[in-house]
Amino acid sequence: MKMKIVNNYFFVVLLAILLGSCGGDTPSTPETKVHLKFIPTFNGQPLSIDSVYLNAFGQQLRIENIQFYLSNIYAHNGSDSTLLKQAFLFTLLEPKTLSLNVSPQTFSSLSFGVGVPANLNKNVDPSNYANSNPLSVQGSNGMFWYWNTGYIFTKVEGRYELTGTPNAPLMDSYAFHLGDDPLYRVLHFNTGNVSLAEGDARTFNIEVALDSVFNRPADPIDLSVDNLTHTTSNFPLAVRVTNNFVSAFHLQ
Amino acid sequence: MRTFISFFFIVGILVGCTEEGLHDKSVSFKQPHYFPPINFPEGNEPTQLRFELGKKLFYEVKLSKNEDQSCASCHRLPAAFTDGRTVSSFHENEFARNAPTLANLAWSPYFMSEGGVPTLELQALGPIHEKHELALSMEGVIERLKDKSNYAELSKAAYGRELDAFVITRALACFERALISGDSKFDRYYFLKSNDYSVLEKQGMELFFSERTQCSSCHALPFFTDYQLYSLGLEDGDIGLERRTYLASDRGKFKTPSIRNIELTAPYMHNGSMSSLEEVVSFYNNGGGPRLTKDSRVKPLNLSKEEEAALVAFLKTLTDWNFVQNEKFLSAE
Repeated sequence: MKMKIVNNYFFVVLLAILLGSCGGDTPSTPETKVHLKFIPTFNGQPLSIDSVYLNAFGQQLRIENIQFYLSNIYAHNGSDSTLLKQAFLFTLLEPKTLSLNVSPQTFSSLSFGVGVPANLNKNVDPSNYANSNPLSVQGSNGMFWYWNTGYIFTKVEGRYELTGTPNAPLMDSYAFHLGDDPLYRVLHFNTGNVSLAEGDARTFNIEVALDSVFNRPADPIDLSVDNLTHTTSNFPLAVRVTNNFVSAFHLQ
Repeated sequence: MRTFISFFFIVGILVGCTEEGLHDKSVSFKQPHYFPPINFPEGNEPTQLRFELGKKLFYEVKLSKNEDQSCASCHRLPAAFTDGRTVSSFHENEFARNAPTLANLAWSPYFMSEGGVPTLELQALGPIHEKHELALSMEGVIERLKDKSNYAELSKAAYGRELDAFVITRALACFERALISGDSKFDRYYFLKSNDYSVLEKQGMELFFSERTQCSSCHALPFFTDYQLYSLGLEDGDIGLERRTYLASDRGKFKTPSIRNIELTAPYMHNGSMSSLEEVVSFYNNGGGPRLTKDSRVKPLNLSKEEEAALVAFLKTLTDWNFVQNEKFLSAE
């Protein structure tokens, strides 16, 4: 008798496990699509890595690499917030649209952090993440400091020359590697009322106006003096470039 | 009597068996009773195969861009896992430093001279990516190793997963945690009550642990470090802890290194600027360097030449010859 009870018990548990693991009849969660399209520009025109641009000091520059983390991407509706994506790494030479599966909802603004928030930045081990995660060792694509653990929030790299002479070769390099908790910034964008029903898709174009990095009127960057920071090597410059960079984001 | 013939594995329990037939077993790293227990991180408890995989990786030149360097290039066993060079960078750079010993890392609360890396597993990522060191990438390492030798098999057997960043960092850390050194002449005299200690060595020991020199207030027992960061007043381009904190008051502060096996780890200081123990002791006796952030305990000691010699004699009793001759730590290939 006891054996029979035990057998019945195992049968029920086994059935529960089998049913639980079989999702074929489970109604799928209705979804909508939100696309965030990041458009790098310089002086209002699409950015070209082959183009030479002028900064506010008449210095010529070329942008050869842009990488930055966006994290904690939220949609807001009044006091309600929905996390759309934990982290996203933008790389200039790779696709620039972030496509998100989102449950049907209404929202009036979006927000995201430029960089990686403190709880995901320090004392984390990127080898714990799957390779597909942008915060993993491989997924971070060189955007992690190993001597003082933490993510590089933003990289802007390229070449410059100081005379402004047309066709002069750009022989010198600049590099802005920005990171560390004090440089994390959260940006908010009003979207107007957006209602997404099942099957809907909505694209938001976000311009990243990179001329702001060099030419923000309040704090232009003179490349003859300020052409290199790994954040810790020149923290004041890292703060300035960060403030310039976050002013580059505009919802179109 | 040799209490520690070999600091190594004593316990073996069969815990796994793969399809390929590799067996793994948990192990314990034998350690002196005067060392505290090791807190192994969850998921990287020591096993025989984890140690073997870590050692194999430690000596693997394919971890370097040009396939000509390994971890062991800068951390050589006969030099207590240092390299005898002033600084260890393969390339000129402003932050090149003297290679630290790897002895007793199992107890270190953080790593790197600024203390910016919280675990040994995370530290393993650094040299692989650092352009002045092995200068490759984890992706590159995995691509090279996945079909080489028996890495895939070892990885599966040791960690139950494909060779990846998780496995490589864990295995290297597992090997490094086994590098336990606590069998010096000093240990046998101080902890095990041996009589083999000269008058000069005893004089040096008394000075070392005295209020007068305060050496042991930073180089504290049992590892001869308190793991804190201080400035000795040395002035060079390396700003030390200030790199992390941005505070001028932290300029030139570095983590206190263990001085176990110090006889074998010349040259000394973060920049390798002192070539002998005599020079180091003289530096302290003269009050350290001029940098304003210098710790208040670093001040003129007014030691006689005989007292300086006694301190040097004491420091040489911190050498663990069994550690630096332990063939278990050498590459099997």
